[in-house]
Amino acid sequence: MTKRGCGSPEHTLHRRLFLQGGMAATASSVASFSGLFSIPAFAANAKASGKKVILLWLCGAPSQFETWDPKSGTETGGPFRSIPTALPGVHVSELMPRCATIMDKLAVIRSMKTGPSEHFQGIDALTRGDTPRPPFTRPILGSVIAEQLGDLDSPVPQFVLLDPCPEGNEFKSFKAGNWAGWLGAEYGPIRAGGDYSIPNLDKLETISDLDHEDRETLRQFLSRKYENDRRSEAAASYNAAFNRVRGLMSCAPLFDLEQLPKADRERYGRGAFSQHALQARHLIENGSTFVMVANGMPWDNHVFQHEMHQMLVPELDNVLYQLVTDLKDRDMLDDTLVIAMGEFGRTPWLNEARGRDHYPNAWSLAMAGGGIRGGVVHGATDSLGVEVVDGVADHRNLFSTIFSALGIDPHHEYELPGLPTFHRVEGKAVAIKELLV
Amino acid sequence: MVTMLTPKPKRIQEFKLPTGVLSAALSEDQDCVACACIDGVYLLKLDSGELKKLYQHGSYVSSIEWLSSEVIVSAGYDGDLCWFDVTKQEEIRRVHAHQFWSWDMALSSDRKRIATVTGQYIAGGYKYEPQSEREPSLCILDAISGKKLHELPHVPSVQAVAISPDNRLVSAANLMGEVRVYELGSGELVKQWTTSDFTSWGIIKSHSYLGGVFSMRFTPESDAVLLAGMGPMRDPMAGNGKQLWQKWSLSPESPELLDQTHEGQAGEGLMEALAVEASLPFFVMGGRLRGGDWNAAFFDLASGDRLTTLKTGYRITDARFHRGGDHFLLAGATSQGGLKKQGGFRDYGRVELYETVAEEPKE
Amino acid sequence: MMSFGFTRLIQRSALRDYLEFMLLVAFVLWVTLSVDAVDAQEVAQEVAQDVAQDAAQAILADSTGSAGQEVTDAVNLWVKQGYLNYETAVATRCSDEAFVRRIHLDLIGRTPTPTESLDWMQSDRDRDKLIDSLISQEGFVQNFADFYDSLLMGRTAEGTYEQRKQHQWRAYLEGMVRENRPWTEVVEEILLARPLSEEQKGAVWFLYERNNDHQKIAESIAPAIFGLRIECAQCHDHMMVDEIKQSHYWGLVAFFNRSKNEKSEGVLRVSESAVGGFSEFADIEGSSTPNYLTFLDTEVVPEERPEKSDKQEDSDGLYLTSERPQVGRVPKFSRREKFVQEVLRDHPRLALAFTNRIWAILMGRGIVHPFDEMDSMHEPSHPELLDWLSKDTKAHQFDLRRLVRGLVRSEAYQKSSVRPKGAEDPATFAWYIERPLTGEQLARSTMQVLHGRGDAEAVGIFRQQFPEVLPRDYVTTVKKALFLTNSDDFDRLIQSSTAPDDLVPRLISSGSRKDQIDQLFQTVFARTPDAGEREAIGDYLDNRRDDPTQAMQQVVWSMLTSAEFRFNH
Repeated sequence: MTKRGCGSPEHTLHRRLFLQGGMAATASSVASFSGLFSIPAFAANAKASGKKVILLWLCGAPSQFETWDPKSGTETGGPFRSIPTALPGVHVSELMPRCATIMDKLAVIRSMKTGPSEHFQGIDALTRGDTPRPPFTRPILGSVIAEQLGDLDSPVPQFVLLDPCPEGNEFKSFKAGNWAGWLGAEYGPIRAGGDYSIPNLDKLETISDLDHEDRETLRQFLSRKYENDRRSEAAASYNAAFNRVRGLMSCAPLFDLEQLPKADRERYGRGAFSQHALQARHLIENGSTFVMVANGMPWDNHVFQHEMHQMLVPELDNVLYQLVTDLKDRDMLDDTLVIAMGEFGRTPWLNEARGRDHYPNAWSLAMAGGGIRGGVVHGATDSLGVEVVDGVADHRNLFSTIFSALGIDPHHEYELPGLPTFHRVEGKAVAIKELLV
Repeated sequence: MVTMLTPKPKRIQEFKLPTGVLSAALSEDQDCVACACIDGVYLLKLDSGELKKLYQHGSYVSSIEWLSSEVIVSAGYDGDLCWFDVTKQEEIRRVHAHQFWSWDMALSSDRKRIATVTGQYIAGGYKYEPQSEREPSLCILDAISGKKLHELPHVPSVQAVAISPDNRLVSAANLMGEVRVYELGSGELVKQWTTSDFTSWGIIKSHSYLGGVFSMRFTPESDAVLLAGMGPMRDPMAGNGKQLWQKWSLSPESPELLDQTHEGQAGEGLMEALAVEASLPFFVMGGRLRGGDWNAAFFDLASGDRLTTLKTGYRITDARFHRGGDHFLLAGATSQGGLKKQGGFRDYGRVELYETVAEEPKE
Repeated sequence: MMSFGFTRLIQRSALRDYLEFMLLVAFVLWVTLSVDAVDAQEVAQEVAQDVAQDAAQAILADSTGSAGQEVTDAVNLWVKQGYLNYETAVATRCSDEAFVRRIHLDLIGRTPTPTESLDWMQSDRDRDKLIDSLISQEGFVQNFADFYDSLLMGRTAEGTYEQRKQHQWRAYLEGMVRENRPWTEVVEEILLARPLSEEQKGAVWFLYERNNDHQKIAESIAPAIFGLRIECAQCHDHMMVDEIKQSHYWGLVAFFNRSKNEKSEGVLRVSESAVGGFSEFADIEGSSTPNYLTFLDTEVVPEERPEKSDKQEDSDGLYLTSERPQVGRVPKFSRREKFVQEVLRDHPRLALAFTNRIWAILMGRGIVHPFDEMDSMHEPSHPELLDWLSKDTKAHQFDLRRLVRGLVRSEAYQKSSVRPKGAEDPATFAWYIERPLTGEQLARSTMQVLHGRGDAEAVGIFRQQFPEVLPRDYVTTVKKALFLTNSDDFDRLIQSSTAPDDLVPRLISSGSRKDQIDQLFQTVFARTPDAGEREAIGDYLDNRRDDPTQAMQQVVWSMLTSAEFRFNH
């Protein structure tokens, strides 16, 4: 790790005295810590090379019929029409007029066929890339990307979850779980957004900067020993949380929606999801590696399917359009992968409650940028959208595709002493070639 | 002492239609029912059960009315109104009334005016307050010529509309429970209030609004309106709001809540149909049964007490009295069900005819 | 294979030695025959299994004592057998220093004072005696009342905590623990909510706080009392757990849906109507079913169901009246009473759920994990043990102290928290599973450290910030770290350690640097520092001679926020 100092001789002297004692053992972590502290601003390395990801997490599972795979005029098509797009012959739902104009930049998979049909299990499979094998916890996509592509020395959190809705049923339970899994807590997300605004970001008035730093160094010294002795994941998570405090305090403005340009805020749309999608762009521009944007579990429309999708889809349409065009304008699209997906799709048929239920057998998702080829529609379903008829892909194929696009070996074997053999993607599942640049 | 009439409904005919029925109206001669279905407009002959598809809209057909013994007018989620001559089997006219859905359409009792409402719920604020309208939400047309007479403002989505029996007022209500009452003739706003009791803001799964008023009728004296929908839910995906109606006074003083579903007389489920008949002292509300034991019930217009209940086994989308209240009609849909082995789906539309059997209570 | 029927004849202590020996035999078999590893394992496991079964019978036949030694024996036996079955490495016995802190936290909900820990360390270090002493302290009552409150009522805003206190709920819970009342009695009282005495007054609050939300009532009864989560059966039969049906969800709701909160002259009452509450529930496909009075595997409770068209008339004749204002009139056919009599009483899940939960509190996770999802999706790690323990619990009238004593005396409980290489699965209980202090424990311990008293002053602050109780995974959010780092609330507790007997002034006025640091470690961590720690803290304090008070505050902060303090280990 690189050592950085703020240059103040007094500071250096004090630190040296302090470190002469029993702290020597932890000198390296101390050094990197003081390094964090002295970085004056975070934007400096903003455009540092390396790929980044924004995951629009459409929790609850959106309907493929009202988004990417319309079957208008059929028995399963629902009330919305389909419209032509920038890609000849390709139609999307009329609820997505903006994305229709940039279909040449988007990649759509219409042939997802995955197993789990309940939310918790679906979320697990589609965010971690595999079904669980207790007691081992596979890291979530964001943790893998943060570990592979992130800059741990950056004060800006590498993996951020923006989700203003603190609840979300199964997603709520999921959020309370272990996200980073066997990679370790330092690769877990910082959670922010809305009700999750981050309190206590300002330093206490009763304490000087130096004391603030010293006592944390002491704390680490005492805690690390405990963590290492026990190989304790809980303690690791605890210490990782403290490691983030200083960095987070220094980049507090990044989390303040009010500081984003008003015009941008209007352009993205006023709903919480739109605002946080804009914040995601802002975080990516300033050094975050993976930002996941969610808003509770709004897509689970067992009732009022069309009444809710008439609002949710246009919001998604605009957000995706704005993100992709912004990233393109900023010359960042090639390095930034945008993914919009949920944990499964919805039934072709309507239930009695004017809703569509869970359907993992044939559903769609979209991606853009970051090593994914634009203008591709992969796979197809039958005329009623009941079965996949071409190009079937599951969560493993998807993860293989995502990792490949980002230049990460999808079949890498994890080095996990004492654990069974795990791979980044199991079963040698192949990437969808036509989606890769 | 007023004599109390007690409804005792008895089903006399039932029909299955290929797709969900969102609205149905009995012809003047009472021989057939015009049905607004998900896949188009059907004519159902009551004696033979013969079913004929007349024409289609660009999307679901949401409302239907008879203008005369020959002519029907329908409205759909394509935003169109369509006039159709049943005898000649030909379309008379289509008017593109809205850019978005016609959620609901009402015909004045003198059959001279049509009112239709629209509006797409689009996020307008951080907490998903609805954005203001992009086109006028309420449209009044001449029922004969199809000419637009008034285009009146509201806040999307406007989901229910009604014209008073005296043909003086038109009233429209939306997602947020806001009711606006206009003069039918002048288009002048005469009353406006909001009831928050029909609207959910999702606490558990989603931070957004849903629900609202799904049906509205004036009382026979045109001095009050009935609203129907369901009570708020913490988890909007549960569909478990209370089966709710409210009665609001239109007296010269400010709008006033007169009555609503009585405690202990309702289960859970979205109510989307109301029927009122001038000659009857009670009204019907119907919709979906989510929890409880009825999905249609008769209520005393004066006291608000529930008189009797029905369980139909399908979601009710429309309810109407006819023959002066001797009979009534229910329309609706079950679930579509999965794809059948041999292909296709079950017939999931429903139309049922009942005798109201209003009889004097034994003293 | 072999028969050990004669074990019954062996004296108790000899029996234990014998079992130890046989398990050793099994272990040796397993190790020495590893040339043909699979066979040897099987043989060893079978031997262990037989030994365990015979032993279990022997223990059960003689499990009459209230000291709970049989419980300890049973735990030792099966957990040890599990080590073989799971082929796991096993941690060593924990040190006395580790034990003294751990047992204080688990039993009385706070870290020991320096006097408490030192006195014991300097005495005969008899762990059993210490356990007995702690179990009889008021801290035990408070600690377990905290747990019961969280598990029965859930976390809430401070205003509601105030109400729980005001309406005697807290006192009721404390009384239950203090008097070691059988859980079955308590559960019946809170679900019937018709208190027969002034002491039971608080029992009404369990239903009352749910404020007529009958679904909420059902959703809290299932996990707290039956060890099951039923929420997802609201809309359809549980997709993955066959035994949980939609009819169970609505049946459980129906038992309580005639209940209604009433309040007159300051007296709270959950009344019950003799009529109504008939309804049907629809699944997502639209077909509907009546909400019969049923739950899980019990028979439907027969009840006259009126025709839909008939309106049930309510009349005084349907009720009995009670003298007690907290009871009011009671319907002759009371659904709540039926639930208590026909579903709850003697339901086998009561003992299973209770045992598994107490186990989870003391052992770091349930034998079924998560402890409140005891369904067919979640298999027990030690089925025979859970079965034995729950039978024993039932046989001993849900004697909490007996169970607790039996568990904390076990070898598994007294393992080191240092996880050895080759031990991966916490379900083996091969090491003491560290656990975060609950908000209450953290508050009481912090106050003990800073102000020498384990009182409840800071409990409100901490339980709001650290609401987790027995979490499935413990993940610390940065929000918590920010709270400990930057919040005025936490800072104030340290800044106010200023009275002469408080920690900071006491340390500053005490002798040498070494004494200071030793006292500090004894107070905060209940142990002596090692040389490296002594040096580091010493260097820091020497460096900050300009302001000894502030320097000491910094050091105290760093210890209170360290992982070692945050967890019980």
